[in-house]
Amino acid sequence: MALRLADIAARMDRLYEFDREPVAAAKLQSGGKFAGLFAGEHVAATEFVIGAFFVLHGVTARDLLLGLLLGNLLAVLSWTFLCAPIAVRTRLTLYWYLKRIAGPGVTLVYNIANAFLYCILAGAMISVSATALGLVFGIDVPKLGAVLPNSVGWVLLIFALGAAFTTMAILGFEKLSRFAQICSPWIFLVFIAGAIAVLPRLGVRTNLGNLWEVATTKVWNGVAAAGQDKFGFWHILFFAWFCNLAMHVGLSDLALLRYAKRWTYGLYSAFGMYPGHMLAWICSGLMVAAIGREMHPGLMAYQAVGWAGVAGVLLAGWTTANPTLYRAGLALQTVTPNWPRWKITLGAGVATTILACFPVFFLKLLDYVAIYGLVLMPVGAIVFAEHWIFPLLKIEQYQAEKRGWACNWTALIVWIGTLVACFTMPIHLFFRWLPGYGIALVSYTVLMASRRRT
Amino acid sequence: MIKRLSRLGALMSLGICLAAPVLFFAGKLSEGGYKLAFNLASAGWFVLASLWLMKRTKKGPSSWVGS
Repeated sequence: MALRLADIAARMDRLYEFDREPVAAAKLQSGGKFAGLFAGEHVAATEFVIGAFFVLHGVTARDLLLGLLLGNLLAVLSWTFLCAPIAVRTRLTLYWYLKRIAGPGVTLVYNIANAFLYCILAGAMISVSATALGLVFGIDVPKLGAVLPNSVGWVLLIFALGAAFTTMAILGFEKLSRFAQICSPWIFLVFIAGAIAVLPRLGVRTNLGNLWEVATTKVWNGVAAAGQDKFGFWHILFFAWFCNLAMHVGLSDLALLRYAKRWTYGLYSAFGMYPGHMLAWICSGLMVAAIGREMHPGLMAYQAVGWAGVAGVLLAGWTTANPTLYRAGLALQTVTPNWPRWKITLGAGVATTILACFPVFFLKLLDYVAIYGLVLMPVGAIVFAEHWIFPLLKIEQYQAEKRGWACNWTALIVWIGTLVACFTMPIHLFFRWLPGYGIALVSYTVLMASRRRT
Repeated sequence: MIKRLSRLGALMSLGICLAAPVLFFAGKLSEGGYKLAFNLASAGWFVLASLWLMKRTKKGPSSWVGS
């Protein structure tokens, strides 16, 4: 068993070899590049669904605007004060830093969990794209609340898209990444154009005099759709905050921010949050209201922008599923001995395609996003405690590395224990991560401190 | 020169993508006209931006951001 783990750990290290060393000063990037990267990353296919769901969950316009303003601010501050300072001090990816703290065993578990979560996320992207392509072939989209596929046509459509996305991810990840950079400003304009174009249909006058009245009565009117929970200010604030929880509080964006010249570069995340996670969500809310509150991203975009809208949804799904599939493949490569990259990406693509057939993943996207962040959040708390709190309390840092532990069991127990505690909390799913973060932070510190005394 | 022209054309295409729905909302353009203008400008963006950005340095963000 120990030999097997050592073998897996050696393979993982080879995979991530290219970023083993801390980033050299010459390779640090300008603030403009961070602004561009954040702006491009946060206008994805899921934005068509998230903003629309806020309307279906009966949010009021005031709660939406305030919740998004403050929630996104908290997300930006999380990148700036939690993730960026550790990134510029260590200049390491989470993979390598976590290995120092928790040993290869925990990094292996983290990789597998990440791969599985990435597959579901990519599956949701494929489903969103399928709603657009389904329009071309006249295939009905599963209704709200559906768990299983609603027709053979839907399954065939998903398989066709899954095969296409996977093939393209295998054939040219790098070229597609560059193509995605071309797509992202245009996709953002699809959101903006769609929202402006549906204003006359919603009854907004050209002088915008009744814009707020229309927003509060026809779009975010506080009435939830049948079968949907009613959301308020706190739901929106927390959702905007935790939407990228794995990246900021969970620290996976160490990979990005380790190239920052200063920790204040975390503030550049505002270029992703406010256009993507505020404006794009507002736009998709307007578009869904204009089609009678039907959860159908393809139809929303088609009605608002025409065939370019359909292409926008399709491309948004494709360009975001592509790196997600790649990352899932990379994470899975650690447990597939000597498999070439194409075979692993193919495996991830097949798993993703099968998951995408089940509409529950995109029709319950808000809950899934919450669970995704929640599952990886304790790792961020463990790293934060080890990096900042241990020196203050004079607890020895990096014991796993110094003593050659294959697995820091304390870290693993804290991770699992935090998740068990979170899933039993009698509060809404959206709010559980915050007390969970506190539990992970305190319990890891206390357990590691008590280990010192024994 | 081609790069400079393609950059100018690409940015103009994006401008048209934004202007078309505004003109439709203001009642200065029909719905069909707006969608046609958006489609054409989108095609222009993809062609010209490919010329502009694909030929730009290969050191794009994806090459410096690790996993």
